[in-house]
Amino acid sequence: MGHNGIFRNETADTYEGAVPNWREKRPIKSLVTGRPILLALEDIDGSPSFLEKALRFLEKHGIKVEGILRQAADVEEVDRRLQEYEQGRTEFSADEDAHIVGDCVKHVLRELPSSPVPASCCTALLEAFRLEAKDAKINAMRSAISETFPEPNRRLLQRILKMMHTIASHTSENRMTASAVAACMAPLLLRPLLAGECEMDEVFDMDGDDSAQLLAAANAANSAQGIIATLLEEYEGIFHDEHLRCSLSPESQIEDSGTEASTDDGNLNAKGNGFHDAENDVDQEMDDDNGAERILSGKLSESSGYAGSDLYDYKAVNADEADAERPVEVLEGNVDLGKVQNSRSVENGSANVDTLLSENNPSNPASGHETPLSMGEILSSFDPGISVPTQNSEYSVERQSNKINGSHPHVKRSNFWGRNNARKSQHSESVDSSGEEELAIQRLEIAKNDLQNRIAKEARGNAILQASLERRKQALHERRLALEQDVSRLQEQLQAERDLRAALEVGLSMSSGQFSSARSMDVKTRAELEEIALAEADVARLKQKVAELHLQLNQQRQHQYGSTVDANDRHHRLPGHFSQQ
Amino acid sequence: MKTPGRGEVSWVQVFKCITIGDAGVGKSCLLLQFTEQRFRSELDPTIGCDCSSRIVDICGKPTKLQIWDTAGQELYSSINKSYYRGAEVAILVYDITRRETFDHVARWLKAAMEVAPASLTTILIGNKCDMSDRRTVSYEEGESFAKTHGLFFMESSAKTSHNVEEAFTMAARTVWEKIEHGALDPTAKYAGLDFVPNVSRGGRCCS
Repeated sequence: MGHNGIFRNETADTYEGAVPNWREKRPIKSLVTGRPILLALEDIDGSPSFLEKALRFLEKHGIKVEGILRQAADVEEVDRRLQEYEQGRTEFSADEDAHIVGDCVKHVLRELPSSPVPASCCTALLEAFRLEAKDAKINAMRSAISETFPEPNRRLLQRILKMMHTIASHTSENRMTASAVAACMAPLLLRPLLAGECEMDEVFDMDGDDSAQLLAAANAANSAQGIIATLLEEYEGIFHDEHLRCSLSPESQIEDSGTEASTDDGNLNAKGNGFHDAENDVDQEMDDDNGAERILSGKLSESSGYAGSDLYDYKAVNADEADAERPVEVLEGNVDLGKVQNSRSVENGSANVDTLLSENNPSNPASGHETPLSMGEILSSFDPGISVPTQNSEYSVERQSNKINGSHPHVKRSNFWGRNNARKSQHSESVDSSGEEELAIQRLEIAKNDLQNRIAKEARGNAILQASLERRKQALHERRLALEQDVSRLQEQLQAERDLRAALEVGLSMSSGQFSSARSMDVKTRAELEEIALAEADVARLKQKVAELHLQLNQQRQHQYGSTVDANDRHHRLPGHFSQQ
Repeated sequence: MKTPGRGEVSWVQVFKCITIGDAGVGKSCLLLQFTEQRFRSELDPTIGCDCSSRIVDICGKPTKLQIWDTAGQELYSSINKSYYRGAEVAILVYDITRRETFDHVARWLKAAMEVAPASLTTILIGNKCDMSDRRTVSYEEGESFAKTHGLFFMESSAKTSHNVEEAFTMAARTVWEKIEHGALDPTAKYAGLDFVPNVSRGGRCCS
């Protein structure tokens, strides 16, 4: 085992060296569960994730199913469905059991590495929920969401609520009221509240009486359900501000399959419009030397703002500096960089990017990146390695929303973004502290992904090595077989020699006269045999003599222990004997 | 009969009873039928947990069954541990028309065994037996599962109230039997909730 461990480490190292770009590859780990919240709704390439697909399925097919989200599906079937997804069955067909899909959604939410709603946000929501007056409550909840929620979490929560909203709006078919849907989902969404991690008036006393503890827990569950139910009932009111933004986000874009065609048309027209406007804007601004840089720095903040590490700091800094108009310019700059690649002024712009970027990261081989994606890649190098996946995905979100952004009249849009950004800056400041932990968590998640990536790589390396080991083993085996064959061949040869020798010895034991009459022996062999026979006879005789002499010698040694001279004499005589013969 | 309540007339023995099982099998409905003799057909999931009680007469002994009804959604929640603790009776419910709820019975039982006292009396109930035309779990299957795990078994219907009363009173009777055989000491582990607020508050002040 110890050896294995060392072995593995070595391969990992060599592997990393051999494939330096491994980070760009997709993680081999689970495509479904345990993903960071940042990637809950979208894959790295911007395509909908398992969760997003499942939510869409529920909105389309689950709304007519009685007790949807409430009734438990078979745990094993849920697991099987998740596995099948990982193995490539990535689409939900209309005839699938909605309860299984519903439980898949719950499973994914439950397995998120951190709560969809972080503890600090739970507390904020809980405080808002406790307000008596309905208007005040809703206002407070709205501001809790816009001020305390990190962007990915807000988006996830809003997406789930939207699905729940859709289901609750078909109560007559599925018998699930808003309150019932909320009861089923609240424990998953407001995890920290249920776990007693939120500040409560009545403190959770874990050592206290069981019943009291149970009551407190039940109370928390009630609050959680109440919060989610309120969010659901007042969905329009609470998310009104975000509504525009939400409807721009890709997930809701694809939502209504019925109206898709018409919206697409609208988008196309409007895109041209927005594109045109943006082009003008940029051209104007390019006259100003700072124009390009301003755009680019804006872009930097926009995309690296989601990088995970400096999420809100970046934004805050940017927003502090920003005057009223600037966010608008910034975003339009984004659109342009993506689309107006051939425009001369934008060429300038990207040159500027390069200098800007290489200032920040001298090792980065940035040169003439024109597409927004490659920009994203460059930007990703600010936070070496870790944030690569998130960067791209977030970037594509940004890109998509920009595209759709074009569908609004220009003036309105600038208002919208302006307001939005102003609010964001406010939001980011407050999140700075409370969202810090969440950010740390996200960073850890990303790091975790990274590590899992590495492990997978390592495992693959090991597999390769194992294969080569196997091959070597095979080769050795073959060689062994060959050697064995050789050995047996040689043994046969030896046997043959021995047979011959036996035959010869038989010949020897016969008299020389008999030899002459021996059957198949030629003259030469016979002569040799005779010679050998003589020599052997001599040797035998000599041996006999030696033996006799030895015997005598020993006897003499034993008996005439004292007189060594005699013995010496005999010794001297010995060679004489030999020479005689 | 010996009554440990020092002759107080109002004193009743309280048994803590919990209902467990998948969401939507009818735990709350069984409880509602038992405590209020009515049936409610809305899909109204339990939030956190509810508690209700009813006093039944077991062999002349007034017995308060205090029933904690948890949300089936809560299988994974932290609420469970405190929920199981100190319970004398567990009513483990599945839906005879939904196979998966029966398949999960073993999980629920395992969860209960981990936390609940060893003397827990568990009753397995196959609910919704009024819909036996849509049955996917046979009576025999339920019965044999109960047998192998040492549980009591009944099929009931919260809608028609079939076997509801019987299930709860059987549970209460079993607990009494355990107490009389000395397998369970009602005073050691769990004082009736009726006294708990005063006792525990007083206790906390002193300590």
